[in-house]
Order: sequence, then C-alpha cells, then structure tokens
Amino acid sequence: MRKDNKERIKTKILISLIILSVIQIGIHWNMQTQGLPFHFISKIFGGNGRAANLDVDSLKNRYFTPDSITVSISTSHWRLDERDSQFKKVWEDIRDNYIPSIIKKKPEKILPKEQWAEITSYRCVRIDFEISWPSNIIHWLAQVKPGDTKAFEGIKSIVIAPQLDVNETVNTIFIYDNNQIYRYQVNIDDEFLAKRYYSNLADELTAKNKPILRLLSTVSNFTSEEDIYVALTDGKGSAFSKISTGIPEQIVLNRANMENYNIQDNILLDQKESLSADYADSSKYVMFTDTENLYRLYENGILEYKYIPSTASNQDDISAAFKHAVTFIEQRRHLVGDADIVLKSIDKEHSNIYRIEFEYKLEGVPVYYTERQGAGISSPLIIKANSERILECRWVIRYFNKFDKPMDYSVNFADLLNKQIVSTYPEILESRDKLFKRLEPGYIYNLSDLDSAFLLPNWIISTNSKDYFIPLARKGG
Amino acid sequence: MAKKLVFLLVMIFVLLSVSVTVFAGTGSDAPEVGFTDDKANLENKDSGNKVRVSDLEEKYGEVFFGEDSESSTEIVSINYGRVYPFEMRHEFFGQTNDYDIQNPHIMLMYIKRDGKYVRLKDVERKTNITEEICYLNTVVDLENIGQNKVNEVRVIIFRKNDVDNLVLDENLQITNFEITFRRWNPVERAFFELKQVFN
Repeated sequence: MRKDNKERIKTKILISLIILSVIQIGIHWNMQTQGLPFHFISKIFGGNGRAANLDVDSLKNRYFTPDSITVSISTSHWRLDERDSQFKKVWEDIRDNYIPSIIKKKPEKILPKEQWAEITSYRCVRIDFEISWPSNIIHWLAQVKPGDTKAFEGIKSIVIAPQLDVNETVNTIFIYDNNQIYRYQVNIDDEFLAKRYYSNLADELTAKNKPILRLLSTVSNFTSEEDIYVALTDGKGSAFSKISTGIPEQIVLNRANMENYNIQDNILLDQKESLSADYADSSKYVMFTDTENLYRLYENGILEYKYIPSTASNQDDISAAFKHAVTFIEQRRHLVGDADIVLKSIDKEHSNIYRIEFEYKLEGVPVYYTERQGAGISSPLIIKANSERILECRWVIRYFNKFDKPMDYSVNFADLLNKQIVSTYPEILESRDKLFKRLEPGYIYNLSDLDSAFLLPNWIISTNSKDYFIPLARKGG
Repeated sequence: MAKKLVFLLVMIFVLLSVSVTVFAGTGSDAPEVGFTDDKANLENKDSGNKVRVSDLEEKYGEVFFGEDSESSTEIVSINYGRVYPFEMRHEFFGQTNDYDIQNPHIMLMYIKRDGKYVRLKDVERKTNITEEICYLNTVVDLENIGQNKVNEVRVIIFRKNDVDNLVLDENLQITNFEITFRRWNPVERAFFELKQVFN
C-alpha cells in the first residue's frame, strides 16, 4: 500500500514535470519565432494584452488595398480614394467576389501588354496597386487555391469594362501583371454588385462634382512611367486635414519609459523578460539583446531589429515571409495612430530572403518620408524576412493623427504650373528630364521632426533625379 | 430693493461689455507650416497693364478675323479634349517651356457663328481671354453637335509684351480647329439628366 502511494506520487510528479517542460518549450519557441504553437500559453503569459500571436489572417485585408480606383470615360477620369464611399463598395466587390472567381478559372484570352492603353481607354473602372501583388500572396489573401492552370503571375491592375458585354449578368474583367493581360468573363451572382453600378459610376461622381482628371501625358509636355492623372479644373478643390505627428509617447527614449517598462511592453512584447537591456541616460539608443535577437531603439524613433544567427531557408515562400512581416507590424500597430501601413515593394534577395518595404498613408493620402531636409523619399519601414522568420527590420516609428476638420485645397494642375512651379522650382519645367514618377498630393515628414509637428498637404513631385515638395494652396486664398 | 436691482443690472452690463474682448479674434491661428511664398503667388498676379479684348479686336481685327488667317509657326501647341458628361463642353490646353514670369502668354478663343467669329467664353470665368505664364487652358461650350455640324474654332496666342505690335507668324499665332462630335450615349445622358433633376 505504501509502495503504491509512493509510486502514485512519483507518477504525478513526473506528469507535472512533463507538462512544465512542454510549457517551457512553448515559451522558448514563442520568444524565438513570430508564431506560437500553443495559443493557450500565450494567453496565460501574455503581458499587456498585445498577444505575440495575432490572428494575422483576419488582419491581412488591411494590406491588400488598391492604391487607387479610377473611373474612366473616354479622356475623362475620376479618382476614388478611401474617403469615398464608392471606393469601399467597389473594392470589396472585387476582392470578395471577382478575385476568388477568376483565380479558379482559365482566362478567356491572354493579350500582350501593349494593348493595355487601348483597354483602359474603354469606359471602365480601373483598380491600380502600388506593386504587382505576387499570385502566391493573392491566393493566401483570397483563401483560394488556384485551379490546375495557373494564369497570372501577379496583379498590378484590374479593369472592369461593363460595356464590353451586353449581357447584364456577365462582366468583363482584365488582369494586368506587368507582363501580360488576362481577360475573363465573370458571371454576376447575387452577392456581386450589379453591373449597372459600374456603368453608372461616372455619372454618380459627376453629380457629386468630383474633379474630372486627365492623363498628365495627354495634357502637358510631361511623360510618366505609370499613368498620372491631373485636374485642369477642380471646382471647390479637394479636402485635406492637418495631421499631427511625432514619436509615440510610450517609446520616447528616457529613463522613465525604461523604468516603467513602457518601451519594453510596446517594442519587445512577450520577449521583454528574456532580453537584457543596455541603456545609459546619455546614450542615443537602448539595446535589447539575447543570443539570437537584437533590438535597438534610437531617440529619433527608429527601431532596428536583427536576428543574429546566420540563417538560410531552403523554402522559397513569399507568402510566409509576407505573413511574418505583417505579424511583426501588427503587434506594434497601435504605435502609429490613425495611419495605415501599406505595402510599397517586395523583392527577392539572395537565399530566399525577401526585402519588403512599407509606407504610411492616412485616409488614402500618402505620408512620405525623407531621412533629412533635401533628401529624396525613402521607405520608413523595411523588413527582411524568409519563410521562417523576420531577419531584419528598420522602422521609423511615428504616430499620425488627423488634427482638425478637412479644409479645401486647390489641386488644379494649371495653377500648380503657372503659380507655384515657375516661381519655386522652375527647373522642373526647364529640365530635359520630363519623366515623372509621381505627381500627387501627399504629406511629407523627415527624421529630424522629433517633436510633435503638424503636417499640411503638399504636392509631391518626383522625377528620375529629384523629389520636390510644394505646399498645396488653400482654395479661396 | 430698487438699489439692488440697479446694482445687478449695472453689474451685468459691465460684465457684458468687458466680455466683448473675449470674443475678439486674435488673428489666424493656422500655423504657417507649409505655407511659403506660394500663398502670395496665388493672389491676383494680374498686376500691370490689363489687356482689353475689345481694343485688340479693333486694332487687329483684319488679321484676327481674316478668313485665311492661320499661322504656320506655333508659340504654344494647343490641344483639346471633350468633357463628359456635358454634351458641348471641351477643354483646350497647351504648355510651353519658353516662358517668362514678367511676360505671360495671352490666349483668345473665337468660334464662327453665321460666318462671323464671335467670342468663345470660358464657362467659369465668362471671358474668352486667358493670361498665364506657361500653361494655358480654358473650358468652353461649343455650339454645334452632330456628325455633319462643324465647329470652327480659332485660337489666337501671343505674348503680353508684344501686344502693341503683333505680326502673324512672328509673334502672333492663329490656330484653327474644325471640331465635330456626336452626342454621348443617349441612355447615359438620360440617366444623368434624371439624376440632376432629383439631386
């Protein structure tokens, strides 16, 4: 009997030791990777509620949004952005209905990219992305497996041309992946927007006095790599808010934030206990490190991360790399205020490593970044990742919040040339380099803006050689 | 009692008159961040001599309205586009790199009606004259629609400082356009007009 009891006690101790060791392994894995195999453990040991293991799948749609939606009839164009109610309607219809539908099927026809200009001259609704989204990521985002025949390599632009088919229950859609054009006929089911909605969109926008746009290359001596639209008449103008920006209070580098664990909670999250800190009051940065991870937070709000061991992944999985990047960002998203973080580029480097660049946007208006006054635009958030983990990150962390009600500004192209460029940057007109990469309203901030500042909208003009920033003029003077 | 009432009224009056200054504006609180001299540039820059269209028509009527008047050289290359959904509306525009802030370009618009050229006015500015430094544009409503109905539009361009001595092909550009167009799709037009009624 006594022996039985002893054995039972030993067994119970053994079982609890095994459970404890499994928990410890889980904690160790949680700290080393951006994914945690034991969800319940993260909940038990989760610190300030920002779980290390986010449900990225529910957040991915934040990143998969168009750069612009343009409605075109002949040479007249109207641009939608996220502030327009039609933007959300159209995009959700495309994302949730059309894309899953076309992924599974073969295109009706494949056309050379030279025909893109002709296709976009039809009466159409055009969705443009900043980059050509790789098809692997599209499949993950749409949660749809492609059919046996893989068609497009990616999606750079989508065109819906409702006039090309008289049948009210069929819509014609073109996908452009920078190499070829893929034409599809899609049956419009009940959950789709009616075809009539796309046909009448231009009339709806005209009735709302949305400025009519023209292609820059057709109304001026300038050319552009991609289509740039300008307004020759802009009615009452376009509305923009003043934006407040600065380094988030929680991560301002000072002794108080270190002792209160504010910085650790917001940057290191669940890794804060395992990383040792190196900080002195006079230093310009704090370093957190262990054998595998190195975090450095500078007083100017730059966060650097490096996975120290050299690593190579045999698996080339762009969607896994993207997912890791998104997870890293989403765990710290609360720091950027009202701003959106949008994908700017994704390029493969060596050894199955992807360099992924992001930028900020606020209500569809880009917020550009420069390292210093006079420097060109660069990415505030660059991540290198492979299929297994984040390897490096450099992030200029700022919050961006709308400060007041929007005001009307002139976006008239003729006024920009006649009244602003001729007196501020005449070299734009005089230069032989007439190729524009960018000509649009946006906001601009640079690294030296440490204290809270207000940003007003500017014209952001980029040629091959330089970036120019010209404040938008208020409508009505 | 009366004294108390009077005292009360006087107090209220004094308080009211003192508080007027509270509502006084302290000037614009909008920070000048981002506003540079550009704002000044948007003020009326039409300083100096105004060009009168009627004076020009009187002085240069023969060359402006001559049947065969057309220049072979261009000061500014002009193009046009139609503006949906307006049936008659067209936009004329042109850019030049040869500009001088002190010597802007002048553009005059005319359309032939009953054999004579009449002023073709901008739909917003209500004038047929455009004065700009390097980019000229105007939005006008043409007068004839239909496949066989031609709009004969004449665009006249010169530099402001040359206004006293204009010579065709030297410092005066006259460009003629013959423009025909059809109605936009009638279904689209009907829908648009219905929307206008109910908006």
